Amino acid sequence: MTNLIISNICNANCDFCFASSFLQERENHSKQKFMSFDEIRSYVHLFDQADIHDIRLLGGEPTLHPAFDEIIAFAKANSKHITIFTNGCLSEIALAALENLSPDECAIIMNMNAKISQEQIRTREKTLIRLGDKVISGYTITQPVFSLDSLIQTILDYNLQRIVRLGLSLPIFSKKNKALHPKQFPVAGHCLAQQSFTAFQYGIQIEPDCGFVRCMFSEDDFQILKKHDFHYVSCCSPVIDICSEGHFLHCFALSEKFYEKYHESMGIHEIRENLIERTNPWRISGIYPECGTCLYKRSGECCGGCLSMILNRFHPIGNSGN
Amino acid sequence: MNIWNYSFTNNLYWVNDRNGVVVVDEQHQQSYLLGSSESILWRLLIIHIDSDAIIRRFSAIISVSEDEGKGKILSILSKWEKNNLVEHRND
Repeated sequence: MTNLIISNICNANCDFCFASSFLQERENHSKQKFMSFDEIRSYVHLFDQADIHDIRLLGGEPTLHPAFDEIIAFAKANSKHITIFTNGCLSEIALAALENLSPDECAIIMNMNAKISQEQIRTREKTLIRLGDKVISGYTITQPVFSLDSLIQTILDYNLQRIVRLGLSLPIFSKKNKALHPKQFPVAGHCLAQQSFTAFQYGIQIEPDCGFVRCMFSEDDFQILKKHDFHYVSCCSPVIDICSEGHFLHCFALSEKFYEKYHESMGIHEIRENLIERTNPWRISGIYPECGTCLYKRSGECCGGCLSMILNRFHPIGNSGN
Repeated sequence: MNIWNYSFTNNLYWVNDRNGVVVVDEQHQQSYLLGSSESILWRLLIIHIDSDAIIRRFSAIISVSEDEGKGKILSILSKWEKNNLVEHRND
């Protein structure tokens, strides 16, 4: 899997966003708001070489790209599956471009707790009505105590796909954004177990995104979640983010530290392997001081959590430290 | 660090974990979990106290004489030098 960051701008203002500071810097640096269509085309050919059949469009807000409809048509003409990560405030052009695609051809992962205006909420409603069968709800946990009730209601009201893609608000390395503290994870884990009763009742499956750790769930909570079809995974396996001008990121959270500049001699898989290799030394630790002695980590049941959180625990020693 | 002309190399990062100090050498893409006495020495070195105080405190913590402590410190520094964590300056 690889993401194409086709837009450096967004029309929402989420304080937990881990892309905004990086994209803002890119926009300031290159004066480029969007990835050019030529560049997109060249990456799609790169995907062909790497046997990647899913085009995952991200931003910022990817549907703001002025050639969004052409990008969709191009992806379809190349028989690619399309995944779009959006806040749901779609223009008429973007709606029309996606409306005729079947759920087998396109998945729309919608950030359901995006910080948007009242007017944008009405626009999003239109998207839910017209594209609902393709919409997978995304929800980012920003507080240890949270409720999925209104999200579940939205899924039922608009007949969205019965999946919630659940993320944790994670920190950007060396930058500031709203993120959960690792000490808050066990409370969030317990809250999730409680929320899973209602989700399960309506046949809604909760799928975790990256950053979850096993010890955030007590044994009782873990059994409840398992019973409710929550497929726990603890992974930090990067889905490379490709930005304009050949900038390949391990992930947004680590965009300051782990990135590669694209070179024609390297394929996508090779770049990904390089980035993984560079992050490997840090994985000896975890988000908690106890991770080094943890049996879940030793057995591979837990990866130790988000690498950005791990890196934030480390102290540098440079010349100044001597 | 200020002990017998040893200094930390560049691009090192460290963290206190429950099982000891973890050091990442970013330049060589290596990480090390330091043993218990190594972790004690590391923590003493990064607080910038003078070499006599380091020997005194280190020896007291691991319960050996200061001569033995000094020998132990030298052997740890020599091991770290092989692992590129410290370098020795010959003045």
